[in-house]
Amino acid sequence: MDINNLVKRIVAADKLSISRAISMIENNSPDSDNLLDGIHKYVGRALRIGVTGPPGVGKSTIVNELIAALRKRDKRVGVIAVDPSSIFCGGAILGDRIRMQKIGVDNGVFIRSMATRGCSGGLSRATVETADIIEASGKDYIIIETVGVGQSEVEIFRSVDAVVLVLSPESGDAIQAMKAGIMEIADVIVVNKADRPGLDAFVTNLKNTLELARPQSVPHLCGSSKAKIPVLTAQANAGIGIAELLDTLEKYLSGLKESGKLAQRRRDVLRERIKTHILTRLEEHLLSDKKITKLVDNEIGKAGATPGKIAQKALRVLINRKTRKVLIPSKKRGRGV
Amino acid sequence: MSKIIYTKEDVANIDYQRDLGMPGEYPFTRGVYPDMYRGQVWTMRQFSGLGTAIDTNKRYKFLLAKGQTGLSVAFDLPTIMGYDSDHERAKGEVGKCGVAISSLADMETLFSGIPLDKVSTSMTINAPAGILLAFYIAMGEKQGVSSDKLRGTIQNDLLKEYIAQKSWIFPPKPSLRIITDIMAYCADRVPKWNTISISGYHIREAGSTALQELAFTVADGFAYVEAGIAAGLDVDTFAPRLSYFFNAHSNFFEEIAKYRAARRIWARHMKERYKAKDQRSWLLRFHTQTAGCTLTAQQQENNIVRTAYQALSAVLGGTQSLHTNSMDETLALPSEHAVTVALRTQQILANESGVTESVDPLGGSYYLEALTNQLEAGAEEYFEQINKIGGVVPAIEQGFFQKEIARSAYQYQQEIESRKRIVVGINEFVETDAPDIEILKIPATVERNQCARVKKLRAGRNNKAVKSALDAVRKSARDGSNLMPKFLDAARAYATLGEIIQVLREEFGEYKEPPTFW
Amino acid sequence: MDKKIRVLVAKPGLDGHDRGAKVVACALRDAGMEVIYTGLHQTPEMIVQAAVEEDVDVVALSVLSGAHMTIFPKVRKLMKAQGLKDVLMTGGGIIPEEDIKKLSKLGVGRLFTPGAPLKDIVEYIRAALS
Repeated sequence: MDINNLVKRIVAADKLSISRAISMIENNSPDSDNLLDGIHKYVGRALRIGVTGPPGVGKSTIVNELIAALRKRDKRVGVIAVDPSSIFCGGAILGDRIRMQKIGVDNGVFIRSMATRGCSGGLSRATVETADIIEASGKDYIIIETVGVGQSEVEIFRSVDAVVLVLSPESGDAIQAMKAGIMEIADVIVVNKADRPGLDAFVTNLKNTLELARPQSVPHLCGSSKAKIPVLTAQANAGIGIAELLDTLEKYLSGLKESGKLAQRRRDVLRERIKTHILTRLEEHLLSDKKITKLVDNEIGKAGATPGKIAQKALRVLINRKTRKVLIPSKKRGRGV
Repeated sequence: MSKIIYTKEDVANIDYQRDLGMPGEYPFTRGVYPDMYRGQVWTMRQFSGLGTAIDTNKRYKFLLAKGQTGLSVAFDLPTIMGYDSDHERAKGEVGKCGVAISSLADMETLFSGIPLDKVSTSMTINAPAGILLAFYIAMGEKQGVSSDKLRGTIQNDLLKEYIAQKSWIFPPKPSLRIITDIMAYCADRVPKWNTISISGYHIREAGSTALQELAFTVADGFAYVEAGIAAGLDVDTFAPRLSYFFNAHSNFFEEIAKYRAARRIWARHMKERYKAKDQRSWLLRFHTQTAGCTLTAQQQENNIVRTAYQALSAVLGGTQSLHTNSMDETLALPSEHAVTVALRTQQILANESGVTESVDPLGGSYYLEALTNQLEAGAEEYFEQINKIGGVVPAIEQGFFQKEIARSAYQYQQEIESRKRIVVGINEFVETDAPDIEILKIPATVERNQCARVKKLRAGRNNKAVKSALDAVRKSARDGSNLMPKFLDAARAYATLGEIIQVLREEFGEYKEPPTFW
Repeated sequence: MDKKIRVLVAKPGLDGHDRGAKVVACALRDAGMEVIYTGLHQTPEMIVQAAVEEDVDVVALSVLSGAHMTIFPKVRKLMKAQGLKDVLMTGGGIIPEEDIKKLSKLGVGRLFTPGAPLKDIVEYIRAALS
C-alpha cells in the first residue's frame, strides 16, 4: 500500500480512502503508524466534541441536528458513532445512522460507525486515531457519540475538546448511577425531550446533583472552579434548542482557546497518547516474548519467588536482550507483531 | 405451551353469564351477533390491487363475477407513502404491490362501472387515509351516491405503523390529530363508514406471538378511544365505527381463542373503563386475513392447504369478513388462477363444511376456554406494562413494542433453524425440484403510463383552484380545524395525493424510528 | 483489535417490511459480524454512501415490494462508480427465480427468498469473503 498516495487522497477528502484508512486503524494494520505519521500535519485544527448519555435519550437525534446546524454554518463535519459489541459473540448491530440522515448525501459530512470490539483501552486509541483520519480530510468539527458511561467512554472523552452529556426527563435513575463518572467531565448538559412531563423537577434535581457531584476541588475546564456547568433543554426531534446548544459550545470552545486552556488540554491529550503508545508497544512485546512467559511460568511456585522478585528477573532478561530493535522499529516496520 | 389434556378443572372458574354469555350478549365472547353466519355469512373480501386503476378495475370485476361479496383495495407503496406516481421516490414501485392512485381521476377509473351504493369497500391506507377517503367520497358524488350511503373501511391505524408495518409519514401526534378529525367528520357525514381498522395483522406479520398481537392491537384500540375522548368526542359517537383486523396464523386453537379473548376484553374495557353506553360500542367486529408470513416459496401448492386451515380458525372465531391468501404470494402478486383458488377456499368453507350452521361451535371446550382465559390474562399483563411506560405512544417512542416483536421474530426463526418448529417444505419433507407455478408480472409500461396520466392531469386542471385548495389545507393544519372538508375540496379540484401530503409534510414533519433489535 | 466482517443491511425504497432485514441482522451479529443497519426508506445513493463510509465487505438489501429490478441494478451501478466493485452484494425478498438470474448477470450475488435458513446466509457470506 502506498501510504503517501493514500494520505494525499484522504486530504483531498476522497471518502473511500478515508474509509479504508479507518479500517486500517481498526484492524491494527502494520501500516497504520506510517499512515498516522503521514496525516499528522493536517490534524489539530478541528474542534472535537464528545456526545454521550444513557440509552434512549436521543443522542443520535441531537447529533443529527448538530450536523445539520453546522452544515448551515458552512462547517464540515465528521461523526464517529460508537456502539458496544456483543460480549457473547463479538458481533454488533450499529444502528446510529438511522437517526443521522437529515442531510442525506453530502460530501461535507462523513459518518462512521464503530463497534467497541471488546477492548476498552484499544477503543479509545482507535477512536482518537479515526478522528485524526477524518479530520485530515478537512473537517471543521468531529463529533464522537458513545452510549453509556463506562470506563472506555471516559477515556474517549479525555481526548476531546468538549463533552456534551445528553439526558431526558426520564433519566433520573441514570444520573444516580453516573454521578462520579461522566458527570465530572461533562462540559455542557442538554436535557432532551423537553416536552416530556417532569422537566422542571428533573432540571432542579439535576442542578442539585451537580453541586454535589462536582465539588470545587474538581475544577471545571471552562474557567474558574466556580463556573457553573450550562444545563440546556432541547427537543431535538423538532429541531428545538439545537442552535442554542451549538452557540453554547462555540462560546465555550472560544473561551477555552482564548484562555490558552485548549492548547494546554491538547498538550495533555498528546502526552497521554504518547504514553499509551509506549505502553502498548511494551505490552505487545511482553505478551509475545515466549522466553519471558516461560521464565515467569518456571519461577511461579518456587520457594521465595515473590511476584515482585519474578518481575525484576523478567525485566532484567527483557533489557538484557537488546529489545531496542524490536521496540523501536526501522521506518518500514509498523506496529503490531 | 399446551397441556396434554384439559378437563373441567381448567374451566372451573368460568361463570357462563359473566365470562361467556350468549352470542350477541355481553361480554360477546361467543360472537357479536345472536345468529352469526345463520343470518349472514362473512363477507368474502380479497385484498387486491395491481398496476394502474384500469388493471385493478378489471380484477375487481373479475372477483365480483366469481362471487366475491366486498372489495378491498391494495394500494402501491408510493400511494401508501403519499407520493404521486411520477415522484422520484416512486421509481420502480408504481403498481408493483398494489394499485397506483394519485388523484380523484385514478379513483374514478378504479371504480368505473362499480356502483358505490351496492358494494362495501375496504381501503388499506393509513397515513394518507383521510385523503383517499376524500377521493372516495368525491367519486361517490360523481356517481350520485351521497356520503351517508357509503359503506366501507379505511385502515387508518397509524399506531401499528410505528409498531410494525412502518409505513408512517408524520410523527404520532399529528397522525392522531388527523385520525380524530376523520372520526369526527365521519360520525357526522359518513355514518356507515368504519373509520379505523385497528390492525393486529401487521404486528403478527412482523413476527409477534398471538398474545402480543392480541395485546398490542387492543392496546392501540384503547389509545384511539382515549384520543377521541381527549378530542372532546362522546365515546358512543365514534366507538361503534371502530373495527378490528386480525391475522389467522397456523396454531389453530390458539387463533380461535385469540378472537374470542379479544371480543371479551374489548367489551369489558369499553363498558367498564370507558363507560360506553351504546351496546354497539362494546362490539369488537373484525376482518381476518390468513397469515402471509406462513406461506412458503417452496412447494407452493401447500400454501392452499395452510390457508384453508387458517381460514377455518377465523370462521370458528367468528370473523365478520375474510381474506384468504393466494398460493403464489411469496413470489409475486396473485395471478387470476391463484386468487380464484383462494376465493373458492372460502366458498367451500361457507357452503360445504357445515361450520356456519351453529354459532361458536367450540364454545365450552375445556381446552379452548382455558386458552381464551390464558390469552386474556396475558393481555392484561401487557396492558399494565404499557400503562407503566406511560401509554402506547411513549412505548412506541421507547421502542417497547418494536423490541418485543423483534425478539419474537428472531426466536421464531431460530426455532425453525433448530427444527424445534417444523415447517413443511422448509425444514422437513423438503423437495429439491418442486414444479414452478406461473406468476403475475407487472410490466414496465404500467409505470410509464401512470406517470403520463398524472402529468396530463396536472396540465389539464384548474391550477388556481388547486392552489387555493392546498392553501386551505395548510391553514387548517395550522389552526387545528377539521382537515377532512379541506381534503374533500382539494380532491374535487383534482389536487393530487402527493401535493396534499407535501403540504402536511411541511407542516407536521416526518417521523424517524428508534433503532430496535433483539 | 481483529478484523471483522462488516455488513451493511439496508431497506431500500418505500417498503417498510423489516422483519426479514432485522432477523438477518441479528443472525449476522450472532455470527460475530458487525452489521451497519441503515433503517428504512433508503435511496440507492444513501445506501452506497453508507457502504463507502463504513468500508463494508458486504451490502445486503431486503426488497419485498417488487421493485427489485429497479433497485438492485441501480445500487450495483452506483457501487461500481464509487469504487466498490470488490464489495459483495447480496440480499433477499419476494423475488422470482427469473429475476434472480437476471440480477446475477449484473454481478449481484446470491438472493434469498422466503424460507431461506439463516445459517445459509451466514455461510454464504463467510464463504464468499474467504
